[in-house]
Amino acid sequence: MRNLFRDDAAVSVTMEYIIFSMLFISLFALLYVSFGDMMVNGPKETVIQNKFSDIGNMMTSLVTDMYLILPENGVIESDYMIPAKVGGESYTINANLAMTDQIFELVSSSGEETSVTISGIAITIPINGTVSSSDINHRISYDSRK
Amino acid sequence: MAGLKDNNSGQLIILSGFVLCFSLVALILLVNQTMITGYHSSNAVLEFPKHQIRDITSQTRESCVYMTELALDLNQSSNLSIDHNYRLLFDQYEQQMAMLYAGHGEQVTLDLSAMNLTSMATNTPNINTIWVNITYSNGMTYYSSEPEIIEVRP
Repeated sequence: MRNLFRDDAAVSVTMEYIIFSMLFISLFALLYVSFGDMMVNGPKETVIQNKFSDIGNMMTSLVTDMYLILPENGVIESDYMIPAKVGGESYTINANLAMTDQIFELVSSSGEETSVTISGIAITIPINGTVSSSDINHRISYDSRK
Repeated sequence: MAGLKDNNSGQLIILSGFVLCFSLVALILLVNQTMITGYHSSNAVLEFPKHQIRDITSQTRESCVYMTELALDLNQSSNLSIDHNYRLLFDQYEQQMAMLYAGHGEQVTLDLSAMNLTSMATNTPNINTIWVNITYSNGMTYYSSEPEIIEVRP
């Protein structure tokens, strides 16, 4: 027994083992907690923001193009296609703020939100409506008689 | 194996290989970023038939003026009325336009809904108007101008 206490040849090895395992365990715990944010939510947010501004710009350029060729007496209707899901989530395009704030709003089901400007067109022609990405038909229509 | 460990020449080659690797990875990341931007916004501009619709209306306006002149000329050389001549010319124009756009998979119908060319023969300074119903459809976009009121002068 006396020999056992006097012999400290393997102490540093054990200490090293303990210190390293503690380090690695704490690192792993940190990673485990923040893995979802780092690997899933962060990129998803980026994708949603990018796609939303892309789709929003599509909407505004469509509206601008339609505005440029509106018939004096008549109808113009245009169907457009948008992805049903962005970043695994469905979303709605909301034009109800167009009259007051001159924007289109895209809101995902988890609450991500992007606005794009429609550069003052709603001053001359009223724009309103909402559409969900999961609807079958997406259409912008204008009727001069309404 | 001993030779491999001791031989340390060619290190710059290996180092430059690493540098190239990392720069390629950085480029790939950049390319991936651009993949997800600007598809829909640029596609909408390309797909929306703004120019087609503009062409149809401006061409119809222009042609209506020419047809008025022609109808007037034909009236002087034959005993058919201006209205009758105009309808004949317009039918031809309508058929040609429909054919041209059908070639691109687009449907165009032009329809002469009303015309007021009576003052033309009597030379009174009234405004002569042609009312044309224009419709255009390419499956995604439907446009109708009913009527497009076109002012013509002899």
